[in-house]
Amino acid sequence: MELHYEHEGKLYPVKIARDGESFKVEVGTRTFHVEYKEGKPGFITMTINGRISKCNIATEGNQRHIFINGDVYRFNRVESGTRPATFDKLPSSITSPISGKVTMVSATEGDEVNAGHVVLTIEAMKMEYQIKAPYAGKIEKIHFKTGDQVDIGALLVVMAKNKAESEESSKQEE
Amino acid sequence: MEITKVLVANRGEIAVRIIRACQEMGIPTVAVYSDVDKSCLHVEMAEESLPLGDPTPAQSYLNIPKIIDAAKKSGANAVHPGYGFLSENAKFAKACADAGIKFIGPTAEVIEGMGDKIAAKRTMRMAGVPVIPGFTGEEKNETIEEACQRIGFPVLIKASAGGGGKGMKVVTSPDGLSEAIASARREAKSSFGNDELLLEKYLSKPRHIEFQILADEHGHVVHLFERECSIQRRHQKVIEETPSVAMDAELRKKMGDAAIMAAKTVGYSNAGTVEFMLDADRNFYFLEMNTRLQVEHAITEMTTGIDIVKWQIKIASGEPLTLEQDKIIQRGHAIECRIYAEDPGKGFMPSTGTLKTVELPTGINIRHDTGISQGSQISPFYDPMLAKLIVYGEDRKDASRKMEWALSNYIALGVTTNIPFLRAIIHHPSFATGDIDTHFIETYFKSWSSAEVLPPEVLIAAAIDDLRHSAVVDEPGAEAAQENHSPWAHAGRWRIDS
Repeated sequence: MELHYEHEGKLYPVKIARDGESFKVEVGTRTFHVEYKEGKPGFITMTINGRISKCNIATEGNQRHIFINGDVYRFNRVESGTRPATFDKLPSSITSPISGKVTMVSATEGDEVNAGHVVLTIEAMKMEYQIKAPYAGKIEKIHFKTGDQVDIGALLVVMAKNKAESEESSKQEE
Repeated sequence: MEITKVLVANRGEIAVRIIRACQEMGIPTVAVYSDVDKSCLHVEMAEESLPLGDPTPAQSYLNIPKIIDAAKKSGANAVHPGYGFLSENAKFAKACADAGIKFIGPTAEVIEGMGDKIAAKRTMRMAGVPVIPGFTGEEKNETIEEACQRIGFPVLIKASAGGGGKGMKVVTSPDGLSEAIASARREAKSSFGNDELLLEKYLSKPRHIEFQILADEHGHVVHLFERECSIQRRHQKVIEETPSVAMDAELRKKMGDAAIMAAKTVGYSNAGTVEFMLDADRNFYFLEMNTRLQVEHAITEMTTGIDIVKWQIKIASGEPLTLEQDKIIQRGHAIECRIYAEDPGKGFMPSTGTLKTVELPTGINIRHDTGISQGSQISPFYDPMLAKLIVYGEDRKDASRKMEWALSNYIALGVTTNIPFLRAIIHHPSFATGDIDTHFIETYFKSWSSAEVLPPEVLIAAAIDDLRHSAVVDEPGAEAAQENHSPWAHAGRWRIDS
């Protein structure tokens, strides 16, 4: 079976099959033979091509949290064939990176703003976070006003990118 | 006055810490909790608990009438405020006194005097304690903008009522000044209800060195040596240690004497901390006095063997301090890492969610102070600190290695934490040599991010886990059938070893 994982905008296809008691896993061009043992739920010991590796897994819907060698990786399982949203390099909307309260709105719908212009200020855990325009463009819609409570991931602002800069940045991408 | 029951006016790890100290002393405790904290550890541990309702701090842990009311209802004759929330609120200390409840801390007058950072500096300057050049708002015919020109950029803007980095901004040139002032005023207003600001010269390569003080109510004052808290982000401490590599016996004596002088000058009682900045030329300046228990008090407990929280309670009950300065000895080295629910790769943005898995490192001289456990919800209402990991070693190198081991074995899944970031700091060569200052994180970790690519082991583990969990649907063969007949299949997620 083929599985897909997405992390920081990158897509990782993995092919996996049972091989008796063990597993055969293909990641990119490499093939691994893996023995797998789960002790307490979520506590895994793997022997990958003869090398022992311990890790810990927690699952939350499509989200995967894995602890290995002191590092934590948080990523998503995605359905085969879908393109993760984070692949859009130039999002037309700004979502809230945090749950908190809007303390200031410093742009109005219709404004032309430069990249880095502070559009909203959100307060959470007694600190202020400035939500800045990711590129120069026109503010089309602001979904919240001062005093509103916003949740993490909520759509805050819809922007239209300046044409001139779109061309420039697509050149840079090449 | 005998303390017979203590209400703990706080939450999280510090509430748990205080409840433990009271229980060891045989004093019953009362916990208070907001709606989102109903099933927190401090509530579970206390002998009694009373609800505060709405989780907004102003409606719960900052609400003086509700807390006084809870103390009266429960019959507590003392209140321990912990740190943060009402711990440095003179009105609260006074409200306790008026209700006949002992506030475990200094008097309302002392809190008020030291809480006003401007008055505090004036008091210290007059007592002969060195103070950083700055603007206090008292200068005649000078605006905050003019003061910047006089002191010279860069300058640091602070809330005059504040602490803990809230409302603090560094301004390097006249350009960003007015915006920074406006933002600092708003943060100060919302955190402390007072938008007055003060300004000071921003020192280059300064170390943050503080002295722990214990003072009884009969005029006896001792210090429990220094703590270095130079590793900070957004002016909030991240890693603290004691002793400081920047100190020698002579400087330690000089600063310790200054700290005791500061405490005596204001008639201080109970536990407190005198904070100093130490510049590259070993000049030290009084920064502020924290009139409460500090987050990082545990490292002092590790190296001196003195239980600061128990002394707070003994002092509040009128007992004389039996500790003598020349008998207090610093031994070995202790380091504390603050575990925050935040993403250091994304500007230290706080993270929320459910802690799915928690597995702590344990071992000799590893202390873990926390108020959360597996299954805890991390809400956006309060400070994002989840826990404090404290280690003790024979020397700094030993303690650093132990900390690195402990962080590498600290499993907390479900909420993004700063653990990998803490490991990277401990591992940094400049940390290893002790070449640190308060700009350390900005200097070396400005664009730090956690792993950018997923290593094969991680993908393999995820894929096998997913295959195994889809096994029942895919292959209704051996595994599923076998598991059905096992008694463990019906037992749920029990752990035999716990």
